[in-house]
Parts: sequence; structure tokens; C-alpha cells
Amino acid sequence: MQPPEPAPKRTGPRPTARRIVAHAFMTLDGVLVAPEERQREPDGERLTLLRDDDGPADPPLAAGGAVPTTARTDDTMAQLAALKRQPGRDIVVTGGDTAIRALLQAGLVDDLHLRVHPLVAGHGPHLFPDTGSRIPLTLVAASASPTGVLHLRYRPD
Amino acid sequence: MRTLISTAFVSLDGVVEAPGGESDYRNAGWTFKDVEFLPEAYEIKGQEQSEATAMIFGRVSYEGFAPVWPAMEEFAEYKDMPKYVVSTTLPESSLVDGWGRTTILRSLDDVAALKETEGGPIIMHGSVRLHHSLSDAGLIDRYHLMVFPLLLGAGERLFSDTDKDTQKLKLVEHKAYANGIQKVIYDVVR
Repeated sequence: MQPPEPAPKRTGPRPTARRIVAHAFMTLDGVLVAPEERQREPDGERLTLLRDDDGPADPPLAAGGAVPTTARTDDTMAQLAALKRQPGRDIVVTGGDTAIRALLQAGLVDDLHLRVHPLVAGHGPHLFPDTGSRIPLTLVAASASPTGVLHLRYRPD
Repeated sequence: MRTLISTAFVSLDGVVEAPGGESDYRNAGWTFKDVEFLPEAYEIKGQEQSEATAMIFGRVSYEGFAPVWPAMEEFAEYKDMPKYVVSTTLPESSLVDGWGRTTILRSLDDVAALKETEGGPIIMHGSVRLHHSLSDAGLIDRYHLMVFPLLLGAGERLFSDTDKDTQKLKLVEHKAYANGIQKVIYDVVR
């Protein structure tokens, strides 16, 4: 009897690029919801994006690293775009006044988890910018919590 | 007290301008351009037409709808319903014939007084500017929203950015359709 053939070596393409998963929290009228009112954190490598006036000048962009969102936004977007091209776990982005907005505008968000709270805030910083191009989306999943918070998952087309 | 319902087509980022393509707005016609048409996604339009007992508009919306809606089959139940237009400038002579008894209201106090009369729900379509005033004055009781799966970026928004107390809402109904449109109904909590 012949010995079994050895299993063929894998030679296909490398694993696909990483995805940026953005978690955002807003009122019905699109105003950002404060951190203390946000829900459960997602899984994945965490990148915490800071408010505009925080953060060191040149932080390392790595697991658990903090990325400032000051005038270096273009740099930040370029770094994130580069990070996406490497194989690895999802990059999870939570909250951040201008961060998710910038990511959406740069076309870097692959998966948007949006939690819409049953509130009308009126005045306040908005999640989505009021300039910029039209972005069609695909609704991947939608559900409502017992407290009336909508959990919506969208994928930009 | 009569329920004042605001019904609107809205993008995910809260834009309500020119959903049907009626203006020079860059993204006009967005309700049908990027979203596949699915008749059941519009079921709320039939539901609210059956429930409503009167209609209310701002001047701009009245002037846009009045020439066209009376003849439209899909709005047949609205035809003879009493109508109210809130405007300080619209003259009586601008009201159309054959679209129900129409009264011009000249102030938000008039709207509040209307809500105290006998009758069922009063429904408001479009009417962005009026919506802002009524919402800020706490005169809206319920929202019927069809949320479209897109970000428009620019355009008039459903809600104003007036600095006021946060308004609480109660989610009454939520349904997602296969084309990504969601029906979302909220009551305003007082």
C-alpha cells in the first residue's frame, strides 16, 4: 500500500486586507452621544481616537495606540489606509468627534455600527459632516433594544 | 388633544431636502436614485393616510403639493380632508380648489389651538421650516420616518440645531426592508 500523499502547500493569495469597523453613537438628529452613555465595547484591536485638543505630537500607531485627530488628519488617514492593507484583525474605532467623520469622508470605513438613541439633542457636534459627497450604503443588519436604541450596521457601497 | 404627526423621508444623516427630485438641490431625487424600489417599504404612507383626519403644511410645501396631489390616486384619501397652511404671507387667493376645506393659520398659537379642537391626528408632510418651528416649540407628538440607506452630506435637515433641552423620544415601531429603507416611528415624551 502506498503512503498517503503529503497535503499540498498553500500557495493562494495572502489573507484579505483588514477592515476598519467604526462604532458610532448618535441621537436621532445626528448629534454625538457622550461616552458615559455608550453601550458595550466591540471585539477587535482597539484604536482609540482622541478629541481634537488631546494627544501627543507623534504617537505610535499600533495595537492600543492613541491617534490624535488634530491637523495631522491627512497623515492619520494615510496611516490607517496603510494599516488596512496589511493582514490582521479588524481595526475597531469607537467614538471620536471628528475621527469617524474623517474616516467616512476618506472612504476608509468598511463596517459602520451605528447606535441611534431615542433623543433629539438640537445643538451639538454632529457625527456626519454637512459637506462632502453622497455615500450610498447597504443596510446589513438592524435591530432595536428594549430602551429604543437602534443598532444599525451599514456597509458603505 | 389631537396628535400632530410629522412624516418624512430622511437620509441616514438627517437630510430631507428634495427627496422626489423637485429642485436644483444637487442630490434631488435621492429616494429613487440609489435605492431599489420596493412597494412594501412605503406601507406607512397608506397606514398614515387612513389614520389622518387633517393635513397641515408650511407655505412652501403647500405650494409644491397643492397643484399635484389632488389628482394623484395614491393620495385619494387626503383629497377631501380639511387642510391647514401655516403662513404669515400666503394669501387666501393662493389656495387651490377641490382639495378639501383649507384654512390659513398665521401663528404657532393657531397650531396649538388647532390641536385643542375635536378630531383625530393631523399630519404634516415635508414642510421643513414649519417642522423646525413646531419641533422647537414642542408641538409635534409623533414622528413617522422612512430612513434611507445613504448619506447625503448637504441639504436641509429634518431637525434644527437650536440650542434647547434634549427631547426624549419613545420608539414605537421599527422595521427594516430588504432595500435598506427603515420605517421608524417615535412618540415624543413629555
